[in-house]
Amino acid sequence: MTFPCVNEDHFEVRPDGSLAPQPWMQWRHVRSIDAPSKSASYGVTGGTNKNDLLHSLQLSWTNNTPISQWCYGLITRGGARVSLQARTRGYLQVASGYKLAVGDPGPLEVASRFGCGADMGRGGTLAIGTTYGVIEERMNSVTFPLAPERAGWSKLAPGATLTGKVEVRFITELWETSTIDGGTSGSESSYDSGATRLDLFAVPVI
Amino acid sequence: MTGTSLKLCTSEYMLSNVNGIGMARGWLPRVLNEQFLESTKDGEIKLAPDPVTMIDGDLTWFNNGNGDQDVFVLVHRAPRSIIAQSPSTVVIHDAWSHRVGKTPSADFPSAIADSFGGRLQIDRPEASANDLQFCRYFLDSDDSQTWVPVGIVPEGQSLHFRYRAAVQTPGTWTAPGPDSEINPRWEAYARWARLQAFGWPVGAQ
Repeated sequence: MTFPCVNEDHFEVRPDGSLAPQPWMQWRHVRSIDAPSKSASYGVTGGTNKNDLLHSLQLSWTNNTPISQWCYGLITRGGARVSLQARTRGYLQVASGYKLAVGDPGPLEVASRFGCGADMGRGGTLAIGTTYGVIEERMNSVTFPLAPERAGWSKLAPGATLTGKVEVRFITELWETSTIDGGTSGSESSYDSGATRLDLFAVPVI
Repeated sequence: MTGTSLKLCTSEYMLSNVNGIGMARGWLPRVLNEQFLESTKDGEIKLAPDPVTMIDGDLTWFNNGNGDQDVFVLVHRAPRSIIAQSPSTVVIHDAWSHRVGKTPSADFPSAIADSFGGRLQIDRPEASANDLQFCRYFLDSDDSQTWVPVGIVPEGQSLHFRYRAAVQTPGTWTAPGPDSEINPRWEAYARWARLQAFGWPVGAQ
């Protein structure tokens, strides 16, 4: 049965004859994926620079409605901590991107970064080691757009797909490997990555 | 009913009355309720091995005839600041909890995984109080926002959302002794938090 006065892409006439807006004619939270926080603690001497992949989240939404839809994503990072001994500098970095297609969205851009480092100066009799020191920084959870460098929302025709991707890495620029003046006791290099969540939202286009 | 308006049967997200047919309030994205919470403990702090409450408050909303609603809470926290004297750590923990039901009561928000703060420690934990070196760590953060998905609040049920910010000095704590000639500073500023509950109708995925 058709209803000539009702745009059935916008409204639904239910079997009992009542009128309802179609469920895609509104802002919706359409997809969500998340990964739990990871932690690591490293030895105080030795080791090399880090570039460790902690989270890799990929999520697609296909416009399964009869009208075009705007689609956008939000990344939510959980509370994080980075603690590093003297001279070591490191951070947790979020990179993201999306493509209007099924499959890997390709190269990602840096979207967010958080970390610390403190150089305390040389130590020991010959001044070839470093003095003792630990810097620690903690950061609250935060929500920011998927691919913030790309302005605007993406328009998906019926049947089209958006695939978003988020990666979180622990990266260091300098990794202290020399002797710590006075020994290794009380020194530390560690992190809590915080959880990562990617949400996709859709808004109808008329 | 006037002679020109025909009463139609509509879903919970629409209405039909003497003005004709239209959208019900529950169809419109909107702020359901909001709270602005202020810190009661900003300023100087002392040794606090257990978190001490700075901001404590909640947000409630009763879904009275809007149809089922998809709800998010936007937690917006103020710029935060701490001052930590070496070798100690000062952090401000953010925590929240929520429950949906007929008469919901959310758990006490006690998590300590979502924090701001830190330390710049240049003496080991075993350093004696009179031998400490002078080092003071000042850290300020920007304000920040987090979207918290609550999920569906069915018609006739309520949301209870609780928020707490608490200051703690975890780990090593050595107060400088009289011979160290250090005048220590430990401070924490949580300032405020704003909670906003947003509601939308339940749509297609």
